[in-house]
Parts: sequence; C-alpha cells; structure tokens
Amino acid sequence: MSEKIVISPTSRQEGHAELIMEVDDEGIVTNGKYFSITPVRGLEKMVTGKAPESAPVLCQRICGVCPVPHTMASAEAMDAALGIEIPKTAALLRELVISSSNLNSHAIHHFLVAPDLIPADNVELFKAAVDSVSEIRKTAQYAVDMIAGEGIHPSDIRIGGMARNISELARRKLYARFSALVPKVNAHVELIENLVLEKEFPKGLGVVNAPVFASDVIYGKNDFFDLDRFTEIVPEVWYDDPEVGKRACTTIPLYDGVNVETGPRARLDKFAGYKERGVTAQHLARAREMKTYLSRAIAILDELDTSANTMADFDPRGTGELGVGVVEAPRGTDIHMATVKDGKTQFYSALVPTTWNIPTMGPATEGFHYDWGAHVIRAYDPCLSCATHVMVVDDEDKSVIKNEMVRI
Amino acid sequence: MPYQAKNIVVGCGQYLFKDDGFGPFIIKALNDYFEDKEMPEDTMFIDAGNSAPFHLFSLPQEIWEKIIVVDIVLFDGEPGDLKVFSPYDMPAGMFECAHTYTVEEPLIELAEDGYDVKIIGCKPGEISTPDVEVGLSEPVLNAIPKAIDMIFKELGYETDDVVTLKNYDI
Repeated sequence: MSEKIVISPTSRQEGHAELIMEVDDEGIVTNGKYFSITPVRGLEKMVTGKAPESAPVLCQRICGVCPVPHTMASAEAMDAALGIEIPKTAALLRELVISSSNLNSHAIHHFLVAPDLIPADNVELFKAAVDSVSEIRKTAQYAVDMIAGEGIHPSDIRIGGMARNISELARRKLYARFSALVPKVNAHVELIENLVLEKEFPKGLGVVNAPVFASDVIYGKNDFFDLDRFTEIVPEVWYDDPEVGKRACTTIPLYDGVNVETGPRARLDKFAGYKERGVTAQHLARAREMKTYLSRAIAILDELDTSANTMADFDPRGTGELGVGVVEAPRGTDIHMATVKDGKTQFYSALVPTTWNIPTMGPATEGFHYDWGAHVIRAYDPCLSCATHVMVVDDEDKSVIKNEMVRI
Repeated sequence: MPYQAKNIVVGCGQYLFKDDGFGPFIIKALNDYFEDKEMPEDTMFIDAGNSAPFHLFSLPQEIWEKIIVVDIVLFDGEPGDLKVFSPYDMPAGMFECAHTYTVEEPLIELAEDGYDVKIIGCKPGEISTPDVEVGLSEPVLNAIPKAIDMIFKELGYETDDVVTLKNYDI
C-alpha cells in the first residue's frame, strides 16, 4: 500500500517549497515531487518599459540572500543587450565580487546543514563550526563592500562595467586579508568534509542522472546559454498529480528537452571531471569550491591594475537584440535575458538556479527511506527567493493575530 | 569589516511591496539629509532590504552598541502609527523567515549579548505582495519625519529640521 509523506515547507533552505513523497510499506520513496509554493512576483514585468539601468537595481531585490549574483546577471544581460564589451579590469572586479559573494553563500549553507551533520550533544563542535562560518562570511562581505560599494546591495556594479576601480591601498588590504583567510578556509573545508563523510549518508542517496548544467568554473559565460535548446513547460504538464500542478509556482525549464542539475557539483562535474553524484558529492563539491573561490580572489587581487578604467562608453538606446547574462551563482547557473530598444527595456526574463533544479530534486529522493528526503533537498541548497515578512501581533497580549509567514 | 560603527540604524523590508519599503526609504531619507551635513557621531545608516537576518544580524560586530531597527510592524492602531518595540515584544518562535533564521530571534540574541536593540515600527497601510508596487501609502509616507525624530532621539542627535523623503529612487 502506498502512503504519502508531505513536508511543507521544507526547512533550512531559502523560500518556501513542498516535498511530496509516495512511499511503500517499508517507507521507501517511490515517487518524489518537489515544487515551489513561493508566490510569483512578476519582477520581470516591472523592469519592462523602464530605462535599462533600472533592471540591475530592481533585480538586486529579488532575494534577500543573493542580491549580488542577481545584480551581476542583470548587468551582464544589459551589457549584452546594448552590445557593450566591458573593460578587462571591470571583468576582473566582477569576478572578484562573485568569488567573494559565493564564498560567503557556501558558508551560509554550512550553517544551515550543521544540525544535520553535527550530533546535537556536541555543543563545542557546533560552536566551532558556526564561528568558522561567521569569520569567513565577515571577510567575504568586507571584500564585496570594498569592491562593489556596499556589502548587501552593491551599488557599483553597473551596466558597462564597475562604477570605479579600487585604490591600490584597498587592493593590498584585501590581498592581505584574503591571504590570511587561506588557513581558516582550508581548516573549515576539512571540517565540513570530515563531518559529511562521518555522517555516512547511504550510498546512492540523492543520485539523479540528469545532465549537468554549468557555464563556467567560477564566474559564468554568457555564450553558454542557447535559447534554441531551452523550453519551458507549465507545472500541470510536468507533475503527474493535477493538484500539485495547480499549486506549483514555477514553470519547469528544460534544456534539450530534459530537466538538468545545476550548482557546485554540476560545475565540478563539467569542468573538473568530478563524477560522484548524490548528497555526499553535493556537500563535498560545495566545500571544495570555497577553496577555488578564495584562491581565484587572491590571484585576481595579485594581477589587478588599480589605475585601469573600469567603465565602457555605451549607447543606452539599444537595438532590440536579445542580450543574455549568465552568472554562476552559488546555487547554480543564473540567467537573465533582456532586450532594449529606444532606451527602454522591452523584454526581461530571469531563469534562476533553483528553477533548474526543482524538477530534478524530487526524483532525487526516490529509492531511500523518506527520513532522508529533507537531507536530499538540503544537499541541493535550493533557493526559492524570499520577499516580505509581516509580524501580526496583538499589541496587548502579544498573541499572534494573523500568521502570514510559514511556520516550520 | 563592513558596518563598523557604534550605532547602526537598519532599515528592513522589501521596497517593491509598497509600505514594506518603509525601512529602506527611511534610510534613503537619512542618507539624503546627511549628504551635506556632518553625520551623527559613530553612526551608520544601513538599507538591509530583505537581507538583515542573513547578512547583518547573524554577523554581529564587536563595535556595535546600539542597533535601531526600522521596519513595519502590525499592531493595534492606524496606518502610519509609530511605536518603539523591544525584541522581546515579538513572540519568539512564531515567525519564520525563509532561511529559518527567524526575524526576531537574532535580535533577541543580540539583546542578550548586551547590544541595545530597539525596533521602531510603523503600522503599514498597504502591502502589495505579491504585486510589485513602489511607493508608500500616504499615512506611512507622512510618518517619516516623526520616525526620523524618534531615531534622532535614540541617537542623541539634536535638530529642528523636519526630515522628509524626497523621492523613491533607491
């Protein structure tokens, strides 16, 4: 007899999603469906009709966790739509920002999965892991703040490049700060790797054989995405349960007609020959990328010419040609597309990383006990974007009048 | 490290959802006002958008002493009403932010670690979610000068100027 296990919302991830697992008598998942229940916000519609410069500023607010990659992908899309080739130094500064921001974001994920990996009674180890996460994140945020103008909502990522270069003094300070972080990140990665391996996730857990979807080792390559290979279908067609189809809030993106896997493991699979799959591999790949980001950041700071121009001259009127911006965000390939004509955005679309992974994560839970379902989802580190929060509290007795947020 | 100041004023909210932009627009009004004036001593105004729990409150800096959070809060009253809350006024464990950092628990933790945490809450008129709409409703827009007075009082900054929001260009 089959039974349904529902986790709604799935926890310790970004945004709200639901996991429905059909299980057999032994509790083994026979069919897994994962879908977003975060309402659609239509930011693309808002960007349309405005000056192209509005898009990166507005897209920055898509999500509270990933303002940086979305700003970057939006600027890249606009650069492409306006036919701009940004100066080499601007490209290096952008790569430096993404390296720092992704380092920060991977560390956040370790904070989120720490309760899965560290036994509850080992308070000291938990504290050590969290302290390590905080130290890495503060340094990474400091770098974004100095290079891109602001740590949370960077103001200096502009269409045409970067608003300004950094000073020689800032370059040296960042170089020293990041160099000093190397032993800390190495120790952190070793700690996470050991915790993941000691957890002994069942062999084969979370393995799916979807093709990998990744454009670059670190930053992202705009010419990776071929619109002709892309299709998008409505959830009612994808999910075999009409109720799920109705409630799911994202469309299903396909590449070459199939669902794909994106993110750290996909990048390593494609560019570093890392062929392990599943939960353990996802965690190990993410940890390993932290070292890659840091060493690339140090290499960029070493070669950066702080006297070089960082902004291209450009004509903001546009030609109506489609511009595609592809940035490797922490959770996978983030694609923004735009057309600009007569100085206004005519079309805008954002295909964010987790949207690619949504149809892949559900089946990844299959073949194992449902107790592992949430572990599988968290290993893919989904990010379904968040928006507003509202506190509805009775002024007198502090009781909750209306709960507009989701309780987990 | 970024956000190094004894006093931080943190505007929280999603400015794409009408009155949920109260916090960020307060920060904009303050930054515009101080563009040609000397800032209150050792103070930073931070537009944290939706990111405060992830990118600010969970990364406390030793130098911080006073944290003034500006956000919309629903309480008994009329739209545009303002009130100072302590983190303990918010019911612990009830409201989960998306990444399972709760909105208020980092603030409670900060308060317990000895930081002076105040929340200046404005009752919203309209939150447009899921529709994107930039701009505050009239009573919330009109509440800005008084809210800034309350912030100045917390900071010990004295002026007779009435500080308003000039535009919505973040």
